[in-house]
Amino acid sequence: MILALCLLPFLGGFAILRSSEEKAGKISVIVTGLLVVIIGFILFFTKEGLEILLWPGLELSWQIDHLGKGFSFLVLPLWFLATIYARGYMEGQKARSFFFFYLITLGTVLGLALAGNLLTYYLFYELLTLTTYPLVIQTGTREARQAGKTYLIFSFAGAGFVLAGLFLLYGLTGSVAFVPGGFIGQGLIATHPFWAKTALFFLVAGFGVKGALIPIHFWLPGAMVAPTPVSALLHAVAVVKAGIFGLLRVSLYIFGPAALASIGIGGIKAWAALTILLGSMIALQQDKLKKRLAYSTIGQLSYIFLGVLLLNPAGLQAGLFHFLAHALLKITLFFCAGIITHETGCTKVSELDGIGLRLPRTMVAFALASIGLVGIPFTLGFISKWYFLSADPAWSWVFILSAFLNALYLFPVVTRAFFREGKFAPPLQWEASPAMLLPTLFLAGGALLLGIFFRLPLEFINTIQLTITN
Amino acid sequence: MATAFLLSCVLLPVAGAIGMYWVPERIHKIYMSLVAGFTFFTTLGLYFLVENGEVVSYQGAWGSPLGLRLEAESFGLLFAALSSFVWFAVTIFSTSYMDMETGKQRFYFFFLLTLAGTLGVTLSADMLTLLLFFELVSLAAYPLVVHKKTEPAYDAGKLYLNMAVAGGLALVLGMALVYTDRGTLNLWGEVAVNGGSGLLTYLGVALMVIGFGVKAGMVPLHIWLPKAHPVAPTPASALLSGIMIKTGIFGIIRVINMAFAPDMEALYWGELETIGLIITFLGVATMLLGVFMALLQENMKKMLACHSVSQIGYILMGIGAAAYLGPLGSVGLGGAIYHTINHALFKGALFLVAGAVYFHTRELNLYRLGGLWKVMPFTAFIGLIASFGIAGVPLFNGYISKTILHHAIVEAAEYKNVNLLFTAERIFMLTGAGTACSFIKFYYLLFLKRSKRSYEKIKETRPMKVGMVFLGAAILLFGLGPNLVLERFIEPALDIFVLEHHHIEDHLLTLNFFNVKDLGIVAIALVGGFVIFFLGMRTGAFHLHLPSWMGGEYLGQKVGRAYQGLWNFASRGYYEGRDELTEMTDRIGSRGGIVLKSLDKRGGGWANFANLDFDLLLLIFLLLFFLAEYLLVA
Repeated sequence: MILALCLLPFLGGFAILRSSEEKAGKISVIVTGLLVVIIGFILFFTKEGLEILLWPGLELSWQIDHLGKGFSFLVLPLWFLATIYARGYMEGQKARSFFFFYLITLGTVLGLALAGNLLTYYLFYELLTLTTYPLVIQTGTREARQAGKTYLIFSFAGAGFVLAGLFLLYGLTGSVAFVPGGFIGQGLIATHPFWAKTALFFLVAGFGVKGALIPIHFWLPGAMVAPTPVSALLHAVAVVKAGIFGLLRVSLYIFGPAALASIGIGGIKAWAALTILLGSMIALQQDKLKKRLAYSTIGQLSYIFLGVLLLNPAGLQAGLFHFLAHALLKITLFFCAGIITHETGCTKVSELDGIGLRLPRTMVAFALASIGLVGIPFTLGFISKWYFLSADPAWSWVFILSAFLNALYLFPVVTRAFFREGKFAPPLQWEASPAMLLPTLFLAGGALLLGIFFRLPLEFINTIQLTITN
Repeated sequence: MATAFLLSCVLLPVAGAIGMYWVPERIHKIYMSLVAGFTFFTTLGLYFLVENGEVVSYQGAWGSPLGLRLEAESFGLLFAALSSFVWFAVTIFSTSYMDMETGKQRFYFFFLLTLAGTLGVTLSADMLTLLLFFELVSLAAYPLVVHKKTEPAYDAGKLYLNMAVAGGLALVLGMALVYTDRGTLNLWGEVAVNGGSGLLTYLGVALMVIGFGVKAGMVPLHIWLPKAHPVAPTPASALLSGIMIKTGIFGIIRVINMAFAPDMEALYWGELETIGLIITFLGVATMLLGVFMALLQENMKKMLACHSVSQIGYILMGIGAAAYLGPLGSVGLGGAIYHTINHALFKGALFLVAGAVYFHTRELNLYRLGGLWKVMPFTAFIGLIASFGIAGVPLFNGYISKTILHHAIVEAAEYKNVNLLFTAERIFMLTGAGTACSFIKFYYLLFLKRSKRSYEKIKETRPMKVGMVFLGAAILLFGLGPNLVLERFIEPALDIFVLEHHHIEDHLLTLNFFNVKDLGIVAIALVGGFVIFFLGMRTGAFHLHLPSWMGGEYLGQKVGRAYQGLWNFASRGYYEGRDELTEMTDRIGSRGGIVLKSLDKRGGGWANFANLDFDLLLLIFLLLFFLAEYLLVA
């Protein structure tokens, strides 16, 4: 049953391949919608996992636990909305293969989310690179191919590191399964401190490539040449979150808080903090809107990692909550950026004077998401920030400083759009095609509502946190 | 029922704001007046409910600390009633004034959102709820600041927004630290600094004072205020200066005098004492600097904004003195609250006067106006009342609150005979003289001086008159019946603070304001004001322009530029280094590629694998370097 979850999108993908170029978008929306419902149902009712023995002691395995379920239920609706958006965005282009890869990536991500051990995770991690590579080079320009190459190099190198970590780990412990709270005892760290550390480092560096830790983030800003639906879903949610999810699995399900504490992770924490601050500082310098958002993503992703590394319940809650918050808010911001480019051709922040007149609803959505990301109370970003701050006073300044930088690079976009005079005229009918506008507004509204009714996700996160700390 | 009142205080303006986009344009004026009026009467109704002993509170469904909690008590409600009253008056004024502006719909939308935020701040029962509304005020006021869409407005708006966001973040951090240390964010005294409180709590308090201080215009965080207040349309300036900066004051009172005050039985008050002393001096510095800046202004709105800084200094000094004196601080606190009310009234009125003048003459420079009492007698009359109020002329409201504050600083100084506090008292006097001078100058230049320009008969519009009358009447009321006001309004508000009750009665309620000593002090200040005025007019000292390096903003710009320069330098170095590195790997790569290709018998291929390999190699080296670094350091 669980294997069906990962395979269904591939089947759906072939349905898209059989359609004509013109209808590919429409069909893929229908197929994705159906699949999302079916997969959601299956996921909801399936309990048992699956193991395929490769050789004694090592198997491919999938399991359904809270964390994986959470990730799946996060990406499923986003995938559907992003597909609708993509249909609007790719209108009039030959995009059959685009939609094919777009959909099968869903299968890969589900395979990642539900992976029961590191080996399975690694395989799908590699597969993810392959299924998303065609999406990055979709436009086919020289720049895109260059970016695609960088993407491949970095991803494979990262996966190589994961593989090295995997071998080390297997050699050390004879197991790579994901166990809540980790399976590495303090004894191992006492006997093999060097190798335990090395394994941790390899895994962090490997997943850190997709999780965009500076300085191994280079692929991400380059990959912004991809069409915006790709940037929005993959480079704000699915791919980068796959890296971060890997980091979560490694730190919480392999090593576990106790082992991490005895290894000593000050260096990694500093690395994450540096990424947060540098990411925000670089974002501040960008004039291209998508690049600005890309660097913002780099900074925000490390929030999650740093929160988890604080090794206490509040930090864990904060990190997991930010996993959700950042996904919703950043995808909204990217959707808005896509609409701006699609409708007006503007790509730079400095060109956006007065665009609020042309795209009022889009820019309101952008404003709401910006406010959420900066963390004005009671938005999604505030809830996670609050838990970050109460997790560890010693690191709280990082989050505050970064929030200020967030405001510095996001608010000018909003103020320019609404309060400056520009060359834009009000829209005649719809400000953008409904296929693009409605998902954006839906997401912005949803993020707003979730910020008010934050108990709902928070309680789910608490159950995850309890399985780990107990 | 009562809870409905409480919620509608906040929700009514929000609903009104949203409704602004639905009602037809021709009834905008009536609609706005109605919404502001209803809000005022709702607040008033709530005030009377609570005065009759009803406990009104609302608890959101999500529990502590992230849940929404509102509670109406006398102190907050006094602020709420004041805010909605001034708002009401200014709204009526604005219905006529805004004829000269465009984009009214948006203006009023944010105008009402700011009102909702302000009322929410006064009604919050815990710190995070307060923060929510505080941020609402911060963000909703931004469109008011930049409404005119001029370059100075954008400049001021940028500074304002950045500082407001930074202040809000300081507040969040402060609250988080206090919460980590104390485990509660209740505003009612549970987080008292009560001997042995940790460093985190201190840090938290400091951050919160900074956060609120930004909004209040406390020196040295005031730099946004003289820029942002004057560029807004006048009704917004009146409210920014009269009411919105009070949300900062309100927050400081809540945090310092309420949340952190130990309970009555506590033996040790030393920590609050220290905090109080610091705030007193911050207040004194604020009042002096503010009045000094005000004297040098030519733009009348800017001058009024500088006076707001100065008057905030008075209030802060009262708050500080109250905290310093602990349970005996009723005079300081009462004075601070009284002065908060008074300042809202006379500063609101003064801005409306300035607005009316600007509306009819389109001129803001004081030195280019004059002789207006003939053409605008009504405005001149209200201007006189308000100027008397702020200058502290007996029988007007400023005299009362300044006298109370003077008592407070003297009490504080005599409490432990701290020399610096006696100096503070002298600075207080000097500031009083400066304020008097400033408003003699203001009134003289605006209304009395013979003008070079001749004005045709100006018809003062009725809504403007009504708005000004509201505030002018309130100024008179609060000046003529001080003991009644103290008993009816101030004493109930002081009830929820930790104060000796008999001290309130002995030192505050029974104050006699019209004795020789207090009147003499005012006389000295007024005479001093005249002296400074004549000296300044003769010597032209009022036209001095301070060198730009004396402004705090200049420092900020310097820091910003230095940061940008450093960043550019570093990034240039980085890019150069990277380019060289890329070139090098390319060279190695192509050579390696030739070798590889000679080995590769198939030839061709979709990508240059040789190149790829060397990039990969570089990456691996980089990561190995980090690994070594990490293993050696950690």
